[in-house]
Amino acid sequence: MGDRMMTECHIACMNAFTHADATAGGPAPVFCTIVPPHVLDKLAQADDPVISGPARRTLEADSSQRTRRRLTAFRAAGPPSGAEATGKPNRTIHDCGNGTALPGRKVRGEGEEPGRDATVNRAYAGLGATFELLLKAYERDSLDGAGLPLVASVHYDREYANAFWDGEQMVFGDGDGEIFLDFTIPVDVIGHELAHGVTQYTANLTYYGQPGALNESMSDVIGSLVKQYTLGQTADQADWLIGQGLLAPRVTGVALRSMKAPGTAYDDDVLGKDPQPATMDDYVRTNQDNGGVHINSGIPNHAFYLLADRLGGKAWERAGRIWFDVLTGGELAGDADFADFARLTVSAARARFGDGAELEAVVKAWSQVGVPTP
Amino acid sequence: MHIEVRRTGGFAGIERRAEVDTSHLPDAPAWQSLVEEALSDASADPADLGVPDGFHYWITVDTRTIHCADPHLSASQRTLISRVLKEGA
Repeated sequence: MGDRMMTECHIACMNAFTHADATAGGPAPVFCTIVPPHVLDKLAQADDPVISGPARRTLEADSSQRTRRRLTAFRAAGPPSGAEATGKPNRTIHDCGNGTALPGRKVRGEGEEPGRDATVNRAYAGLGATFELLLKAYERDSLDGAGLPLVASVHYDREYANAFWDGEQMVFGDGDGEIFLDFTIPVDVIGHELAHGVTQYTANLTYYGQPGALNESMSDVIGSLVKQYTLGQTADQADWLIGQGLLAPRVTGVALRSMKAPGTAYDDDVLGKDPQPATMDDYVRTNQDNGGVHINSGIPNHAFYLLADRLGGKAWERAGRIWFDVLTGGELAGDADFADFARLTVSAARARFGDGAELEAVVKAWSQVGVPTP
Repeated sequence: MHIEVRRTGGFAGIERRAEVDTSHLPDAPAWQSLVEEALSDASADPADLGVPDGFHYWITVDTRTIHCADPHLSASQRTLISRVLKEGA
């Protein structure tokens, strides 16, 4: 290795925490870590250089982060692809064979029998579960409301620890095996990705800042509802976790996000601590992660949980209906902030259920997370 | 030559970072040509918001930084990112 100076860093970082305790490490750092400083101190003293190196480096506050204002909207929704609305899913699963060419080789079409690859089978089933929730609960025929074929690719790249929606299809990696397992394992992750498609065809929320966090939250809400619908769970039976089963056994954590208790999903010496806030008091200002889209989504996520918990019963029936009405109702602007969204949920609750328990519960839920609904 | 790769975003929203100093490496010329190719492919709009849940990458070579985002990476960018993030693990 000689003089090779190399650090491998799984340490989770983000900048501009609002939390005072994250500013240790230098004067006015703009780049902080989500690993608490006391944990970093401990890691930095570790005997294993693989662990101590990144921790030491992270402690050296990095102020080179540039401020980025990225306001261009995510690509506008295209027209429906000409598929006929049939009320039945039209799924195709492709296998990238650990390459990166999309969509890859077709391995399973609609109606074909399951094969030997569990990843392919999970993707196919997850697409079906999401399609069914959209149709049965919200009378929506696929992502675009017009029978859009559902396309997913699995085994993308090597040890790829992610899943994403590329504007036309879903893409799943196998995970690195060390921290993340196969991204098709949690059905809520599949529902989450497909929900990005629904958002793209409806409100098309800009993937940055508060509209971006709303975009993320809608995906978490729909993802969790797909899981609850599939399991036939009521709000009090649901785990309200996103990505349960995705973390490798060695990671100290239960999932990637918790809608019930944002900020508590994981707290691991390598992965760091779940940085999600539950209320506006802990809103995180950052220009990482597209302005914290996966961080501040904790706030609308928690509002949804509080609503569903207060209403009880099947969360997709009333709480989910209200959220879905807002997403697809045509009034939600692409640059909507939390307050805009909250106000529309109040209107939607009244329009759908009148001046009853639902309306009161919506107002209360937003109030509890610090978002006013005048 | 000092190379740093920062990967942000993704479904988990967790950042990852790694770096390598190639100055005294026996395969420094290979790194050099890989880096030159990766940087020459830098046509991506730095204001690109990427795709939902997609990774964003910032590759810094000495004083120059380029941005790229999944799934629109060139082959050399992907190779460079993968090498920097993996090696030394």
